[in-house]
Amino acid sequence: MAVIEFKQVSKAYRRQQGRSSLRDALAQLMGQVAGRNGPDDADTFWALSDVSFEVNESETLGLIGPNGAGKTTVLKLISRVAKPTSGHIAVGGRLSALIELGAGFHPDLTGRENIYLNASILGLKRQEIDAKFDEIVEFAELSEFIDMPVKRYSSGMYVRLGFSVAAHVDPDVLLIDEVLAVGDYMFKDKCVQRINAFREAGKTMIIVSHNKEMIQKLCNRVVFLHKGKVVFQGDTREGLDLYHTGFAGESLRGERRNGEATLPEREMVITDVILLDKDGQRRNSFLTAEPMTVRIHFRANAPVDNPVFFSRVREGYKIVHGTTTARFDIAGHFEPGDEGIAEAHYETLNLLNGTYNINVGIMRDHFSPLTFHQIDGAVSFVVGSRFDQGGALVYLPHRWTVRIK
Amino acid sequence: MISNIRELIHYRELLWRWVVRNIKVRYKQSLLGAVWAILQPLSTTILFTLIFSYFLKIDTGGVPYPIFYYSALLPWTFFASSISFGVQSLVSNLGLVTKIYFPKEILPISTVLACFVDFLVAAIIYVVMMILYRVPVGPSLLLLPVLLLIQMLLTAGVVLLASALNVFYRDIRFVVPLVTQLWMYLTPIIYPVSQVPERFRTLYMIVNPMAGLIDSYRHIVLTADWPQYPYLLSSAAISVALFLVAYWYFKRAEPVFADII
Repeated sequence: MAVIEFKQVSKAYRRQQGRSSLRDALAQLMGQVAGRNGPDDADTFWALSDVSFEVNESETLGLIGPNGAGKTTVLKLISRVAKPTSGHIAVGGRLSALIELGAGFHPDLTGRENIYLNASILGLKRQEIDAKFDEIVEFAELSEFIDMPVKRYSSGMYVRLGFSVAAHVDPDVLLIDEVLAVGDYMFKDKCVQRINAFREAGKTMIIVSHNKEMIQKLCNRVVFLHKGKVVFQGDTREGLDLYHTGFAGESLRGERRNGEATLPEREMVITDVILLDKDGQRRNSFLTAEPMTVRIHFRANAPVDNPVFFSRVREGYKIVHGTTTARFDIAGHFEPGDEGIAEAHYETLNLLNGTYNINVGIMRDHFSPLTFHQIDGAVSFVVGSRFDQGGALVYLPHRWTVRIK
Repeated sequence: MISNIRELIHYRELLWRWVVRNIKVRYKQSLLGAVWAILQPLSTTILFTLIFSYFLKIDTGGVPYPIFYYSALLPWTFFASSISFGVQSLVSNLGLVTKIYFPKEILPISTVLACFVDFLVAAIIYVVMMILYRVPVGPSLLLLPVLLLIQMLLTAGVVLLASALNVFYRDIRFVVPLVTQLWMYLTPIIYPVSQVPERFRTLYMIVNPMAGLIDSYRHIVLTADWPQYPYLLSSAAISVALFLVAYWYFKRAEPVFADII
């Protein structure tokens, strides 16, 4: 059952919205009277176009996308701060938004007075605030300072207080917008713990963040927005990979998913990635120190000179080894329609037990940020080892000798 | 409209807290604190008394100048200061307005209520003056709450309009003090209504709702008379109508505030 329903929502802003002065308004009025055009379509900026998604009870949804994609607009619309131009939005249950911490805080008032004010704005009644007051102060670690005017607080204290109040509102639905960018390490940990506590308590949440670890850790699903449109909706890992793929270059590069976004054709495209053992057999599991070949099938759609192929072996998101053809002076010229194979041979795969995946890609050249095509986690493999792991990552070939001097 | 009022009632605690906040902040910031609420109407009264009893003689119909002016300046100060504080109430809280959902009219309305508290404080001085000048009291004093209510509706209406317009047109806040000043001269504060030429008087009283109110205040608290009902009624009608129109406009414009600021 959907707790948050966002159906075919669009939001438009007129670029010159709100004449900022009467003089401008008068000028515009004169213009209209004189027959000059009023605001036209070029003036309209669509922050969101036909966006639809749902969040079910106890789900945590991640909203990802580049700056300006419309994520904050989505949150504003859900929290009823702004109205959609078209479409339908429904939210069930009490909502709290960690969007503006310390809303209503006045520097001349004490921490205590500001807590009551802020909590009241967020919807708590007097008894509820009284009951939670001590908890709020304790979480913010401000017991000694709570009766001091807030203008004497450091910025860290200010943020702690703001977060603490918002976190104690006990909503059914929580919206979080990049608020964890401030605060020191320990406080950030506290915040994450708190958010986790919400999850375990079965609250519904939407999190907006650029921090992919946080999204990976906290979210069941993601919605990926770009320029106001939904590019992808679904599995967190997939969405994150898509987001971090080929954001080099101006336009979004990614796979076509469920027909939700169409992308420009690449000049070179990777068509398949497979792993081979020393006999050329296709495999997905290897032993430590075995040979392995990464084979990249590609096709050129335009004339390309000396592109650079790269391959990065990762454990999860951590890169363990990376290599590119640029180091090996490999040249080649490709015409549209050419299909080819690029292979990276590992004589001995010195990885220990674990699961690994590989990012592959083709760049224009070694120094260019322009990537023709990149696939993160294109293929996964497992390494089995006769050796004891002992917390290590790699096997370095070596031997011991012991003797008396 | 009904649902708006209902929602406002749901948020009444916030409204109350915001009024308290406004008052606290004002007094914490100012050197004089509560004295300021009294100082404004009082100092203007002293000034007017000096000018209009010595430099330029105004016929107040036998009423002593200080109390003649204070009786009108008291409610006028409530009106004018509500407007001057209230115009910026939305724009100066832009963080709140753009990020959190709550009935935004709480901001301008709480300004009006905070100024009303100032009014009550300054009214104490008036009571003292009444004793000093042996002002008669009569049953018409019972109408005072009614007048106050009408004035509150009028003031709230103007503040709602001004604060909403200020969001869209930022230079409204410069226009407002000017308009308020002119408005004061068009209200029978410095001079009694009897000084307004006969042929203009009806127009004058009907167009300016504050005129009817100020005149009625004087009737009640100065001379223990009943107010002139035609003028009072027209003031009441305009005040109520203005409030309704202003509130309607405010709620229409409210969703757009977050888009603009």
